[in-house]
Amino acid sequence: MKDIQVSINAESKKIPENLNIPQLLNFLELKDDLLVVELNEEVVMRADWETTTVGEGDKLEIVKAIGGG
Amino acid sequence: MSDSFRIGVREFQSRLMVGTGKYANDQLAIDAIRESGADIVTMAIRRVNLGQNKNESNILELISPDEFTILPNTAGCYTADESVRTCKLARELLGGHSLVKLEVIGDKNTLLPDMPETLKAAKDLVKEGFEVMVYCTDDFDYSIALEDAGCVAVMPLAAPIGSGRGIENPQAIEAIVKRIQVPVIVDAGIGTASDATLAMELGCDGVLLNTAIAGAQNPVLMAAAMRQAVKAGRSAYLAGRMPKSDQATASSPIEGVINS
Repeated sequence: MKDIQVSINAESKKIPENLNIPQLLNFLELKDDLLVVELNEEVVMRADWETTTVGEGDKLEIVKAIGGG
Repeated sequence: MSDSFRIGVREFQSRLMVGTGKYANDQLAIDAIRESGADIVTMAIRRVNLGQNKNESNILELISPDEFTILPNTAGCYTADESVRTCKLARELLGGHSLVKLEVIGDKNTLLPDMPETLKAAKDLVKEGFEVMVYCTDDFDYSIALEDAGCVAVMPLAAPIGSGRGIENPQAIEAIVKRIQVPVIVDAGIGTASDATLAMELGCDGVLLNTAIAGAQNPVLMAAAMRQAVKAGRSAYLAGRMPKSDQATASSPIEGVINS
């Protein structure tokens, strides 16, 4: 399987090609609840996770809530 | 007596709103937040650590949207665009919930809000369907502009974030309270219970604070103090204080003193 280069949280990463969002989170060993994913500056709605595939050069942000004022 | 108030489409009982940052540990945070009696609890939105422990706890497991109204903030944003992006992420994270705390910072040292950019962000967020509670300076004209932009609460600072200096310009806060129709909530700069009481005595609808509790020697006890302080100040405001006088007026009758 081929690897592709993407940016995740401003870090350059090599990931397998054709991953959808749940597969990407699994690859990154992140629990898939209580977080949100943005792909190329657009929020990926959870309902669209299965059908959204990450491609070469994509910019992803994966965020969660933390303590704050 | 019920003294609930409305922010946007929601009704709240507690006029004290608290942050979730800077606690020594998660258990202390939840203990203090429960003791505060707050309905609304603020959180920040941040990147996950890649390579983090898969079993690392998530704050939303501890401080649950089932128990509190979560108010995601845009802390750390310096532009309108960044803050709109952050709010969209928060909305999806919280299952479509539209209440947000907008803060657009102008300078990393003072942490004072950038008001032109804050107003721009407020307009953009209202257009996107958010209910915006906006952190702002105590500037009268900007407060009006933010209300006109459709914000559901105007939240002037008491003093800079985390400074604990208390209400530095009570006259400015009072002027805003008198003019603005939506709830006015003092946000940032509260240091101790009397500061929260003063905010409420000035006629503010609520107080939002974080470090005053989290940074206290005993956060749970301070949370109780803040809960009582907000209630005391609110009651004093509703009761209507006595007029101030330049002269003393005896409280006991003059007649019948034994040596007269």
